[in-house]
Amino acid sequence: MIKKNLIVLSFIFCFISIQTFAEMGGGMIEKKKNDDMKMHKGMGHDQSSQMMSDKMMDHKMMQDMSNMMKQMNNMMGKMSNTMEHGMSMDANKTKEMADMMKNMSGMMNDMSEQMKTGKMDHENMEKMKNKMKNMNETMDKMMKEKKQEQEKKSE
Amino acid sequence: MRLNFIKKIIFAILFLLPNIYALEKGNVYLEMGGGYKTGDFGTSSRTNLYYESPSLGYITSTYDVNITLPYLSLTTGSNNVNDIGDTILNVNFEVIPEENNNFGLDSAITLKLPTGNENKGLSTGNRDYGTFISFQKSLKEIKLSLSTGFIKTGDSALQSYDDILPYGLTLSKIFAITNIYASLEGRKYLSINGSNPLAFYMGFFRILNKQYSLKGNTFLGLNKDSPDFGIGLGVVRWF
Repeated sequence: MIKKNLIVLSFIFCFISIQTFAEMGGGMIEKKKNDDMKMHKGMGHDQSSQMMSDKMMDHKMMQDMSNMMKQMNNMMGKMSNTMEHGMSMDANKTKEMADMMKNMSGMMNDMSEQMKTGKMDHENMEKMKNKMKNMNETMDKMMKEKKQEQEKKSE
Repeated sequence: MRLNFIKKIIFAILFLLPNIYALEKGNVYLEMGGGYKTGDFGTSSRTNLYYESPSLGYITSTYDVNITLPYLSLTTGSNNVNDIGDTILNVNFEVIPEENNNFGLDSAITLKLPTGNENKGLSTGNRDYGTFISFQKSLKEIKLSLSTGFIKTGDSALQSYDDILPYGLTLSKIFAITNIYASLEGRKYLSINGSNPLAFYMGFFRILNKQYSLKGNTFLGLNKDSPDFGIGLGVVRWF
């Protein structure tokens, strides 16, 4: 994933650089700067450049919140999907599923309580993320097993 | 040629990254924000700016695409102009996730389209291109972010403008469901006599519920090149 991102990043920087030089006709050095004039003194100009650089600052917090919401929705969706499709489960799987749902419910309650009492911190959020990740993996594993069973039967 | 160039850039920003991560689902959000700034920028006249900056975006765990079209009300002395400002197209993407690593690295590309009126002082009259990079490291409960970038400014028929090197250092901490941050932000205008606005920011980001968030900030200019003071507030609606 990191490698893929680095490739994308490199590509975009190369793309922008090449296009910028092409646009300028290689004239960056020739470009005359008016040194007598104090540049960008207008508030309008300042606002634009400010907004451009501010976009990066807000991004991380927005992303954290979006991720949490998405993980929860996905998990609920998968659980609902599993139930709807009437997956046949033995006693162990049923217990596993029940535990997961209990866990999920507990997490939702925890979050709710923490929001009320103001105790939710970054560490807690990370723990919840990890729990959800584990549950997600278990759910995927169960779905995969079910699929394999169906394939064996059809053979 | 210029038109083709704009088309290519817009294509890269709006379509390239989302297509690469097309399978990843995210959230649409609408941010309604606004604020006030005042300063003299080292001149004898004071300028006040009221702005509204609505943003529409799509965010996933790896990227964030958004567009912002501000409306500005600019007052210098007895002159007052009200009009739309420059449009900002922005793509943020995660290069190295902090999860499973000791640090995180994000990057962004930004395009400013000159939709504002240059004659009214609301735009430079040409497009700007920005690339940014941000390094994050969690130090126990406090997160440290270092960011920098480069803004290639376009010149107008009337004036040439300096390119910009933005930089910033941010410390943030989550208290309950509120993220509080303090930052030092500057922009170096790249010429011999280029100005160098520097300001100290404090702000917050609070989750109200599953659908709404509240954000706000205030800043104090630390030199004559920066606005003296400003305050901003925004509500984010998640879909």
